[in-house]
Amino acid sequence: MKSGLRSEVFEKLSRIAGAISSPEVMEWKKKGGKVIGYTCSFVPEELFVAAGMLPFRIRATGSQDAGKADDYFEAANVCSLIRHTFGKILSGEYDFIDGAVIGGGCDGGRHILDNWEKSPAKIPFLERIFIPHASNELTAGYFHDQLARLKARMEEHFGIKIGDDKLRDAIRLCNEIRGLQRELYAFRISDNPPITGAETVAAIVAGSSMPKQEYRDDLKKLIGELKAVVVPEKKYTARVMIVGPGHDDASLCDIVESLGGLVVADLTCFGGKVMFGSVKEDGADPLQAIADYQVLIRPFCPKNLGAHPSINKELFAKIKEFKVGGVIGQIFLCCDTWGGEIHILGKEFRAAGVPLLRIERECTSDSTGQLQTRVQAFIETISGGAL
Amino acid sequence: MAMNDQEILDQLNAEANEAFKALTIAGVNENARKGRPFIIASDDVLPEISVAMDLSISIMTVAGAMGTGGPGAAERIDKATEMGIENRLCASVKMAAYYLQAGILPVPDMIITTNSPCDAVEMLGQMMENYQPWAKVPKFRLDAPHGREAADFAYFGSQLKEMALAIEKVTGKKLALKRFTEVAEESNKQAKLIMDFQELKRAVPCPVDQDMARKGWEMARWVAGTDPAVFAKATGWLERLVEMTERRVRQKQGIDGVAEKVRFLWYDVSPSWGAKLFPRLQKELGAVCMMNYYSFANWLPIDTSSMDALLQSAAKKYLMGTPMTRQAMHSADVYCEDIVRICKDFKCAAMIMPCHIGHRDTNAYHKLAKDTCRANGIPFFFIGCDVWDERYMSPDVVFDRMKTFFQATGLV
Repeated sequence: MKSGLRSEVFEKLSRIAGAISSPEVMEWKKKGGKVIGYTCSFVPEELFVAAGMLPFRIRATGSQDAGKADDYFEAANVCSLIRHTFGKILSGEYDFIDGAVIGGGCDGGRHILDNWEKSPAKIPFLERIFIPHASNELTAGYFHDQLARLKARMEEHFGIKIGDDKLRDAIRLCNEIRGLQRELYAFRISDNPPITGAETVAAIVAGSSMPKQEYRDDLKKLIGELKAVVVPEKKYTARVMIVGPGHDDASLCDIVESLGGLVVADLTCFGGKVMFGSVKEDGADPLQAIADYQVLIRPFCPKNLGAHPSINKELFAKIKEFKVGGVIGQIFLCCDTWGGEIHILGKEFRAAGVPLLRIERECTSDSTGQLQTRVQAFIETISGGAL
Repeated sequence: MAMNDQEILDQLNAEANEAFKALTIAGVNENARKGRPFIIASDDVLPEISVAMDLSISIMTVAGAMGTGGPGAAERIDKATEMGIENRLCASVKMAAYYLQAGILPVPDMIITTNSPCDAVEMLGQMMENYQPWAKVPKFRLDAPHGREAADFAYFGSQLKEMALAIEKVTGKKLALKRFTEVAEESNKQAKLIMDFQELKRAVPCPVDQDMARKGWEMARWVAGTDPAVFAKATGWLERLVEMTERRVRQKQGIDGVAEKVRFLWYDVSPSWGAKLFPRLQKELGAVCMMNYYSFANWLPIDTSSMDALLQSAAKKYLMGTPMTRQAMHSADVYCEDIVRICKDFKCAAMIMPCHIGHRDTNAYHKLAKDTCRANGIPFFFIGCDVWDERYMSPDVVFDRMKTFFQATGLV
């Protein structure tokens, strides 16, 4: 990730986001802390925080090769994010985690667990959680029961008790972090923000890869620094929004921003989706409050039947608020849900006069040259001239 | 004069083929004019409910799959890609998406969408819900869970109840206990017949082409879903099939004109180009396919003791007995255990993994399936084809590869 931001705290967050393990995680473990990995943004971190654990979002950052994962998943027909993530698991890069919870957000993602169970990459605690594909009272109740079951299994395996008071504390902490992340995002509403899109992605990704309290404090510090910084005058050629899955690495942002554009917003699994709204803090049942949040409040994922109107509403609100000049719809090959969603959005963007660049790609950044050409043409189109 | 077996088979096939017209795109348009409340679902919805409520439910993916075997299929699949549908999407879903976007579907009274059996169908549901001419059509969403515990069946059963109430609100048709029980009893009769057929099929040589089970299943499920009158007819069809198969087993008769040498499991759906492959394998190599996802049709009985029992056992039947939902929605254990059981019960000497390119689940099970077969001494062969579009890998190429495999393993 290319960054012009001069800030020690940002450099720390950027370093954490750019790798899998980090000294901060190792320090946590050295002190006897447990780390629990998870896939999919619909797996609630609050449960792990309440258990006194460090929630670590399993990702494929920096991967150029799925390695042995391609023995398990057929390379041509399964999303590269899944294969590369599993490749990292097989290569031992996640050996530091004490357990993992696999969310059933998409077909490929679900089967990480099936393959992990039978692979040489042993892990002492491996659980699946079924994430509902529709949003209503019934599905929220079902998700509550899933969480209760997961909680019981964690308590049994790790010999701990996750009480309601701890859950409420965790909810408050995670809500506070979401609020800070939204504050960080809001810098880019201005024409000349102190932080770029690529830098923001790094600062958000770090949040799911380090101790939560430390992250909260770092984020506060970073926001304070950004408020104080005097930003040199810079004119961006285009204000761009990215929509799609994944987005744990900033390579696409880097391309846009190296061409003079600015990524001002996104709706992706590692970005704008994770910080929406808050979990109710004063509910009688904190587990139900968490379930309601994931199923009823933020169903911004095309894996949810009927999610499109809320995705549309959120996107058009952001387009207006962040003065977006064009949208890049990013799809990882074989991602059926986002493939359909971008198709539906494409029509609506066309009708509303919002330029859309649809990119089907692998999750790695190995086709950067080709991407750069397409993004350049897109930026030229929306900025009204050659760069 | 009594018909001989070939004449009976011809008649059963003719009836099935005639019935299947209701599943095509032309059939969907016909179904809309039959005078019953007309519903379009993205994928399978239990016919027991639609028959009991006297509805006509057409299924988008089924219409799409039927279309992939018809004239002009390739052009329409390509047209869907041109419309911006993801290139690597399952071709049957692509075809269904084409039908939707080409504006050639009637406006239904209601749409039902589901995430079962896969993300592609879920995506199709999103497209249906956001298709402008259907914007005001009432919608219901079925969330099929991935689990197989009592809580999962209860959860899905509750949704079926909600679905029946939503349909009642739109159409005025009620899910009455008495009628639902009668239909479930008929369904259980069909389940027993199809399990009888499966038992008979274990005989060596295989008495009747296994694909007849798929045809029976599709008549009793999908066609009956479009027209409740077909439901009872499907029972009669299955009775005749079982009666004839019993006779053939007693007489130790195999499939006519086939000298059976090897039996294999084709572990995916039956391809739309299957007629160009399986008869050749039978005739030229004596290789007989014993089972595919649909002919497996693991029919579970429905408990008729109360409305709750009906709904919950129907939910279990849906989640664990619907082909593709069974294989795609659950953990790999279900998939792998079925391989071993089918190969053992039906004396399959080999497991063929066609691995349809659009099946993200199967494509995630490559190594697990291979390891399962290896551990159980079952020769395993991976193909990697498109079961709905023969341009990806032609039936001739599939035949040649399977022939090489059978010869190399000494099975033929």
